[in-house]
Amino acid sequence: MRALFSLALLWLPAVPAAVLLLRRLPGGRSYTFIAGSAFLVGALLAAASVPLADALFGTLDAVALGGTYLGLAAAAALAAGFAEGVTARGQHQGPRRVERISSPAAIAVIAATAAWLFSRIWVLMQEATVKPLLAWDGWELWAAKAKVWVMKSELVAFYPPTAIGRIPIPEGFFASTKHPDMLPWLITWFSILGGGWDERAIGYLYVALLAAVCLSVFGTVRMVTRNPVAASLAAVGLGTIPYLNAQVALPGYADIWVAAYFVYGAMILCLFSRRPWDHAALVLLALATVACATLKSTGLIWAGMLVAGLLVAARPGVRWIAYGGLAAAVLVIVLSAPGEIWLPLKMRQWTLDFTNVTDPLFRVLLSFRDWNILCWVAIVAALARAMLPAACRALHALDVMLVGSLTILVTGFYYSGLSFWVTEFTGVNRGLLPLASLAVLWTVLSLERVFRSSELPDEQYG
Amino acid sequence: MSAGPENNSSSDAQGRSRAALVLPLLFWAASATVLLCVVIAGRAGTFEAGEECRLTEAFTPSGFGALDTNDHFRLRVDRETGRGLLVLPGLADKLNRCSSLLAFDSLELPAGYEVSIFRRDPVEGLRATPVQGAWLMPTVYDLGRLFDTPAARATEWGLSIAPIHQSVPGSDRSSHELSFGSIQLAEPSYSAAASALLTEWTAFRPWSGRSINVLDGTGGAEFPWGRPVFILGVSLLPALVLGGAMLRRQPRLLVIGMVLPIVLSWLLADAIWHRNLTMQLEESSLLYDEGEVEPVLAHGSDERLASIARSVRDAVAGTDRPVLIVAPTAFQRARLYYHLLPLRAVQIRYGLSQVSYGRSPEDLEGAYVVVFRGGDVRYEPRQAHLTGGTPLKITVEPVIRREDWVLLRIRAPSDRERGS
Repeated sequence: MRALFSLALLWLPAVPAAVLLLRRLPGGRSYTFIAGSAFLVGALLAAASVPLADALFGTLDAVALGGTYLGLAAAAALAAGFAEGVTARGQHQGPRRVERISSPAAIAVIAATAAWLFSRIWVLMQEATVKPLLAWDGWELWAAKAKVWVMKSELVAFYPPTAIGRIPIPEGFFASTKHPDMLPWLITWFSILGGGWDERAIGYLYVALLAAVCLSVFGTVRMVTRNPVAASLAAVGLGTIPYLNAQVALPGYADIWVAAYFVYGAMILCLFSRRPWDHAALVLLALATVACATLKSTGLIWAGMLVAGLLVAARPGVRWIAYGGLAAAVLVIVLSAPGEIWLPLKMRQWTLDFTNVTDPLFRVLLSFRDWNILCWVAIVAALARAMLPAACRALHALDVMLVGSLTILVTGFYYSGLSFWVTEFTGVNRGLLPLASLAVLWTVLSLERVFRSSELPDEQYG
Repeated sequence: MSAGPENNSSSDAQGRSRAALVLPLLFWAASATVLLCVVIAGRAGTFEAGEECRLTEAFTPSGFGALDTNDHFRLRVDRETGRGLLVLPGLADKLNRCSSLLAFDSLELPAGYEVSIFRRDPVEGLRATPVQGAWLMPTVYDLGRLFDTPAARATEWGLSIAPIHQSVPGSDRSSHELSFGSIQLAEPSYSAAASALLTEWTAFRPWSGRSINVLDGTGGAEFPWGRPVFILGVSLLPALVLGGAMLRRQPRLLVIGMVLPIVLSWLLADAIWHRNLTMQLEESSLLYDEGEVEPVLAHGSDERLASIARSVRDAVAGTDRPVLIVAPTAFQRARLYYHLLPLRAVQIRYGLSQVSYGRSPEDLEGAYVVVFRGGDVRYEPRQAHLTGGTPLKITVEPVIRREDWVLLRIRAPSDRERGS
């Protein structure tokens, strides 16, 4: 129960900030989107409150962490309210609320999909919270630091295991330091507010994340397309991706967090694609980008894709520059292999060598066990988009993010010596998870757009 | 002017009708093309066992559960890389019966076990090539160039799954019997490759439900009617769309006719996943509910390490000195490290060279070392030394001594020891 209390404490204080920030959503106010956003924003603020509380109070206890978090949430709400008041005048005033659903068929579909999702989340919650932390990366990378911080009630320093060879031995603890601390901070916050270290309770965080993403994508697609059935399908599609569910059932990985914030950033771009410099859009997109970059070191790729999406949403013509840049980069890599090349990723020389991973890559992408029939449906959507052009700003932005992510990943698998990640299926799946999450949103919006291209004016669709 | 919207509306309806017809055709065209490409690429890049083989001997390592003699396995070897894919349906289920750990799919082994590939050499008899499998580590074992000659392909191959250091012939085999099967490698036909691929794609073997902590065989049961229903669902696609196309004047019905089969297919596949997840939950509840450790779980490798960690914590209570962990497998190191937190535990991956270069033994005085048997680092009780991988000998005193691990405390060497 303390874990659920901790969860509520994470979500509720962020609601005012989310409500104020998202009062004037382009498609009308959607409470499902606001509820999902509150969790995602709240999780970031909660994580940020850990180092802040340690700096302010010198200790990590429930009072210090809770107080710091409430302060951050209040400050965020005040800032959102102030910005709202300053910038509200003269801006485009959309509908106050998203349209009510009146069709009985649509209501039936929404009820059925909601029941389906609720059933899934319920079973996942039980599975995720009944067993200890078993995911290898979970306890070796992410929870190890959190466990020490929770038990020591302070942010003690960590050094890489090789530091044991230093003279003298550093006065600190030893753990991998190759990834940022955002997720360990969040687990620390959640555990301390939840009454102490209980690795089973960490599962609640992951279940809540899945619920938040489903709520957000439902609200987004509904606002963007005004089609509640499409919104329901998007929520079910995203919420039932087998591998995404697997990372909830087996809590402890960071990939699902990166995927969640990446697809959340994509949602923001869809909602605000007609006015991407809107302060609410910029704030939320900045949060999503920072989250991607600070949850995992490889999240820089996804953060970069969000920035590219923002530029394309602001100026759709930029997409041709982006495609050209991608093609040029691929050409350089192909022509440079075998050899060495400097890449900004981890700021080091990368050895380029071609490895044919076509067969295992196809097996991963097209098998049903991890992605259901997502890849097949995405192929249909891509062909439909190619034959029946129906793009808009939002889809242009998503196109660039999707193509860019896919190109970087696939090129990396073929040329950067990461082929091992493809033949080792769990590795490639973890890498593909943000892309797959984006693909669900893109596929639903693309198919919906193709069929309704003549019914919605572009300014309403994005 | 007023005719414009009507004309637009009419052309829109026609456009949607075209879409409803074109999209499913595209779906099938894309599926067939991709399938063809993958089959051709896959067939060209691999060669497989001509037929599935059976383990010819019962395989019964202690505390493990038995692999049945009718268990099948397949080998798929990439021609270019020499990598081999060992396919043992249901293996992970059986391995996980005594393990609290999980494997992501049916090919992975829990910690402490390894796969060995054997070939029966006409001259030298049975020769082993152990291929170590680590917990949650890759399911594809690099077999080097074992299979890159015609002679090799015609050789009899066998495999063994056993605790590490016990699977090599001639080593301690008291706890298990060697399993051996024969296999003839051959290029698969196009039809066989397509059939295998379709089977793989439609098999619906999500890792959950079957590969985590399966207590008995029930979790591994195939969802009986899942595959036919799914295939039926997908097959309904053209029928529904063609039927829908007859209703051209009702574009919404066309949309529904187009999208519904895809949605149904997704939901059907998801229903199977959900069913597996529910079975998994039942098994997890049996193992972990209320924090009770079931007898089966108590013999798992993780619980063993947790028990060691408790002993170590009790023995070093109150210390702020580092606790070095030296173990032959990554799983033992990493998992014990986690269980020992918040002690200042550190994994020693590179032997004593990780801690000893350029320092005198006194620098480490007071630190503790947990050493598992079987690695390069050895504890020599008579000399009270820890050695391995470096000329440096670290003087230690035992704190806990068990059959397969010891807890040592590093102390400064005496003058006599320095002299020697």
